[in-house]
Amino acid sequence: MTTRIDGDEPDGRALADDDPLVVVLRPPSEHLAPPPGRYEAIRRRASRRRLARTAAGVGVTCAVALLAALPFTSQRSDPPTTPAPPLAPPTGGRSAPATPVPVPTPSTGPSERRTPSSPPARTGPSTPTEGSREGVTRAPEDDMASRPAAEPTASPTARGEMPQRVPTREVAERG
Amino acid sequence: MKRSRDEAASELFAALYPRLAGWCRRLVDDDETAHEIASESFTRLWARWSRVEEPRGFLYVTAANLVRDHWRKLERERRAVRRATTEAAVAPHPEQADPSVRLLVQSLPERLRIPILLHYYADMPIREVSVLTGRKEGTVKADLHAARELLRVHLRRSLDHSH
Repeated sequence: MTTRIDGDEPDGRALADDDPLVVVLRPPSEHLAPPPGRYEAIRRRASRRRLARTAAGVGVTCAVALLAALPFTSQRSDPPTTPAPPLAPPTGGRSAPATPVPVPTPSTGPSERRTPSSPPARTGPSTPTEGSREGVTRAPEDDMASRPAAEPTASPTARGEMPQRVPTREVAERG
Repeated sequence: MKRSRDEAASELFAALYPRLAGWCRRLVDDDETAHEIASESFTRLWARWSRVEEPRGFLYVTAANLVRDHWRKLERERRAVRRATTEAAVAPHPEQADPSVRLLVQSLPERLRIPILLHYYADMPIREVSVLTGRKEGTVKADLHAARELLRVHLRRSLDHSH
């Protein structure tokens, strides 16, 4: 097949009058006038669509920004949880020896060192955590005075292996 | 600024809508569908008004795509009807649309269809078609020629079938 490129016609319309393609490619002669109000309706619909597209674009941008920022926020929230040192031993920790106490004192600064040393001796009975810490470090008399009488009954059964606590309690009960 | 844009839109609508709707009417079965397709083309144009460089070409290409969608939908419906009524052969849908123009949109691949639409229906000179499609002028001419040849073959075949 020889391909003839329409170089000779200035507009490329190389159609003879008897060419059946004239029927196909003739410009549309039929015109349809728009119904009344069609122009305004189309304009309204186009502006609504533009708004919807803008809103969708903003939403997608926000979602992407949120997803991008999420790893940073999660990293930021992690560090405070990890370095938290273990607090006092569990509630039955009366029986534990005084070993945990020296650990925080050298590591923390002077301001923190003050808090465990002096105030808990007086304010100890108010909160259970401090009371338990004191039960380990302080003299047994203070501790036993602040504790209710029912509490010691549970610990000997649970911690029967620890012999040191039993005599102190007996002393307290006697006193 | 906004007023000038509105005026331009209004002028474009007055100049192109009747022609575009008339062209659609040659492809579809009724006036209402032709108006719907022409309206949807204008809606899509104005929804991205600032980004369209050549509104005339955009309108015709959009309308041609919508017409094809419309035909596909009709074909699906016809098939569903045929499946539903097994005993009676459903008579073929009366083709009120201009079969020759229908052939144009239906038989040409997109690569050849767009230059034909822009050049012959949107009245764009080859230089503008070349700019709009991003093809060289020589390529556009070759595409137009190939499209015409293909159309001739299809037209001849359809005439043979009808006789």
